[in-house]
Amino acid sequence: MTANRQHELKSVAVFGGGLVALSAALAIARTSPRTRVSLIRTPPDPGALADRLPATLPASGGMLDRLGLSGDQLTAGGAAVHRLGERFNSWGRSGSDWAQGFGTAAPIGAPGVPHQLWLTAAGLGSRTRLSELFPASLLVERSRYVEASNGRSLLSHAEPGFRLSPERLVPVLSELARCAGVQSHDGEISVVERASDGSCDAVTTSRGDRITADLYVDASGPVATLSARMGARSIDWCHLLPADRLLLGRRTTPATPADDYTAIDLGWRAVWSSGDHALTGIGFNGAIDGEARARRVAGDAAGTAELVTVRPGRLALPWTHNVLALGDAACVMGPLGTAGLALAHLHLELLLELWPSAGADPLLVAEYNRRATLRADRLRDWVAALYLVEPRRSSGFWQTPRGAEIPDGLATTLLQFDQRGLVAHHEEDSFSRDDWAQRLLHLGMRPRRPDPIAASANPGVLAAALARTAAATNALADSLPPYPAYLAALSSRRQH
Amino acid sequence: MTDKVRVIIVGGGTAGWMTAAALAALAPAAASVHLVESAEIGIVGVGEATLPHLRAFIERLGIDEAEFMAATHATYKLGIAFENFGDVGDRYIHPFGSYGAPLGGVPFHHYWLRRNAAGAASPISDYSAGVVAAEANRFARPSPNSDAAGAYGYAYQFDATRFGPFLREFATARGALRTEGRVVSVERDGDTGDVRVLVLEDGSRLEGDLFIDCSGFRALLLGGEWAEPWEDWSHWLPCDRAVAVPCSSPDGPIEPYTRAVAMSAGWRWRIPLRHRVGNGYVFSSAHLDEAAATEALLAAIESPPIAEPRMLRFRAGRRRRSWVGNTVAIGLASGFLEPLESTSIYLVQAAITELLEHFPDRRVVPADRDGFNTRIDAEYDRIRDFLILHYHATGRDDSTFWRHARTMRIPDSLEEKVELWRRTGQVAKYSHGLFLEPSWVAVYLGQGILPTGWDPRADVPETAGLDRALERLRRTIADRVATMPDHRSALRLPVPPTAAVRA
Repeated sequence: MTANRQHELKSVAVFGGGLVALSAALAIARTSPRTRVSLIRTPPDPGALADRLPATLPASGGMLDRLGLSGDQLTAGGAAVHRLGERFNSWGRSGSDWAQGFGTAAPIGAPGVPHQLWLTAAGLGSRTRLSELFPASLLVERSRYVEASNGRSLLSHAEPGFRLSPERLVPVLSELARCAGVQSHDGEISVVERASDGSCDAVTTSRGDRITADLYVDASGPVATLSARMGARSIDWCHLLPADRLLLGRRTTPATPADDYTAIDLGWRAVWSSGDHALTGIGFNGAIDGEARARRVAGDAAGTAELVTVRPGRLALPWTHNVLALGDAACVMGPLGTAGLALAHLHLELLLELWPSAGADPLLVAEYNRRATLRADRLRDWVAALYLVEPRRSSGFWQTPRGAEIPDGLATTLLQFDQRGLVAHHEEDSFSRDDWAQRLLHLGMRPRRPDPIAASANPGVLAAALARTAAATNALADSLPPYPAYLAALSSRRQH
Repeated sequence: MTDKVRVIIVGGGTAGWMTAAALAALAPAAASVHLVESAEIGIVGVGEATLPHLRAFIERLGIDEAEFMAATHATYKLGIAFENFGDVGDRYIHPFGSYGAPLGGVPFHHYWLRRNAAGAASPISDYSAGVVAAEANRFARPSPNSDAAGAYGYAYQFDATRFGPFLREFATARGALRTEGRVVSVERDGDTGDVRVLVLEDGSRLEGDLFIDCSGFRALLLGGEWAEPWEDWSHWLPCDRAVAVPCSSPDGPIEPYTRAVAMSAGWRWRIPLRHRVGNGYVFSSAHLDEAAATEALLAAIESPPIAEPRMLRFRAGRRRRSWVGNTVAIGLASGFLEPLESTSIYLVQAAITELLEHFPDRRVVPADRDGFNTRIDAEYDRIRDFLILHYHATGRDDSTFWRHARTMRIPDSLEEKVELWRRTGQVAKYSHGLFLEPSWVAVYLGQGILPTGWDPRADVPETAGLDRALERLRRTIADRVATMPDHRSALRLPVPPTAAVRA
């Protein structure tokens, strides 16, 4: 009998106090029940937006399952609302209002790629709007959503993520973690002992607890205390994601299944619906505009809104030796898109896939870093496109990214789309080619040349097919109740 | 509406007519297609095996599967049986499909490695419906709703010399023009160097905007006119000849898989078609001369040959770029990798897909070319590495050829993958391109590279429970295969019509 030379991790220490750290501790405890998992709850970092504005994407939804959280239970229990997409107002070249949902195109009944068919038809005078071909987008526009009950309906093309309530979820995850055997206590990272090879030997907290583990997970927020002490190098994204200040407020407003953003000269306004209330945000750049101006724009004479400072960027190598940074400690995505938690969950999923044994194999660590940084960069590009592509405003905030050097992946995407309306496949992309095409078209890009396949469609047949699809999608939206009514029905159904 | 791009395809055969058919069917408003082929120049057509991707190509063009199979005398293919690669006497099947299903997010093969290390596992092939069916010479079309455990796919084994003509009929019925003739000279644009006109032997002139070089190894345009450099891979893949001969079908079962049998200086294929068997010995002329190879092949085939053996010459490698100027090479003109994993037609299909995605205007721009080249280069390189693995992962010491394969220095990218596998049982992942995790697992295990460790999470489930689950899976697969008809009978069953409308 040959023994397994890959020895299991005996212990993992997770540092952090928010949803990212809890997700990590719980996911690790569940995937490797014989590993001793400790959670050292470091003080909350106000800049940890992944913990404070947590939202998931369809691509990251697998982690919720892994954690034992069902979307149904979360929404019915008031711990989450559906996040079907995003609305952008006064945004892009024409400064128009547009909506983008998460999901696939409705069946069109003509060969070709949906957005190419739409472009061809539009060129021939069709009045069908792009969002009428994507059920999720139209539902976001109309602020309606209902979960599909069978896989074949038009609704099944809408694939929501969730906007989570930290107040409701932290206790739930804490309890689940406790049941899974995670040992938690409070602590602040005080001393980090390094071995001669650079790895972490032990971490001592301010209370004097000396913690040793096979693997350390730094989910301590953007300050990333542990990673910083390991000498981790950072890459700065401020030129690509100019919002480094967020004025965070709250107001009561009916629930919607989508995030809402409006471009203003200062930057942008956001409304993040969380059920019966919404968080509001004003994103701006601290070097260009002062806090006072932002508060005036927010109408916050009383000064009650909280000012949060962030520094978009990421660690060059999220995993070094035996220290893995996760969430804002690894990557600060910035407030636009609130993609921090989704990225953390995607990275956590990757860790579970490339699960290390004791003495993590350097090739495994390298493979993790390769894929994790590709994932983070592509997600950054997805958000950066909102700033970089065809901004209409000439204010300082909106002109900052124009001078930035566009990263290769995004530059190629923009070039290919400009030429042909083509979106090439990227490794570790959290969005589909249809998603990218919708975003770039709504921002105002128009390919120079027609797609040969779409152009070969019979114009009459194509127009009829699109009109039929649009009619069906509209009929679907018409048939659904307003979202707050649906949420209420969900929770009352659950109580019975 | 912009003017149609005038596409001139040089060369018929599989590459030329697949390209013509795709453009005629999918982009008739954007391209006019004119193919020039010479009846005199022999088509490189031998019994050919394919990958499941070809089914998507057929379907995309709206070709009926039953019609296609009848025209090309196709049989079904569940995978490839590799013999004598890891060592003389070894045999394994690389199937289309997976082994078992993940448990708790941990891939199946880790659980198998755990039990195997304890001497308590049946062969991993027992957990692949594709392999079990192939070994039993049975076949049934996979149902789209079947559960994930041991799911399988299929491709075709067919007569490639019939595929070209079948597509020719299809393409010309949809407006593609065909001219029989030989290109004797080429006129180029003085400034850009772009190809403008092909002049044929009879003096006629073909003017075009985009030229597709499907002229085979000659690479008349890309190699001849553009002189695009060739990246040579013979140090890794030294085979540079193939002698091919068909023989009659033996009585008994028709195997629903291709055989690749390693020989002293290469390997031979056995591709069973409906009415005969295609055979070929792919070998390195530096290690074996043509006469000896022919003799070895004739000695190995199991029934009398029904034609004279044909000798083919090639080199492993690819053009540095497949698209230069306004000329795109597709097929052998763009590169060659021996058919060890049946990738030749796949590479043609991949090039056609990328061409449609990057289809140019009447004037080609660099962005079109660069995007295409990046994708095609990646496809070639990935396949190359996978083929090198088949040779390098050997314990054979019985000939100079195999000693070279075993000891050669392999590409760094492959070295790291193998190292990672050896230590952890992990397979480095790409979401795109050929040969996903199950393929690598099949070859590693089939050729004797057993990792020293596996995912420790696979050690957690209690042994008796795990063994029961494994046994249940093995039986489910065995039972499912037992209900399948034998391959010969399956070939007589009607093929369901292809869906009329494809989105």
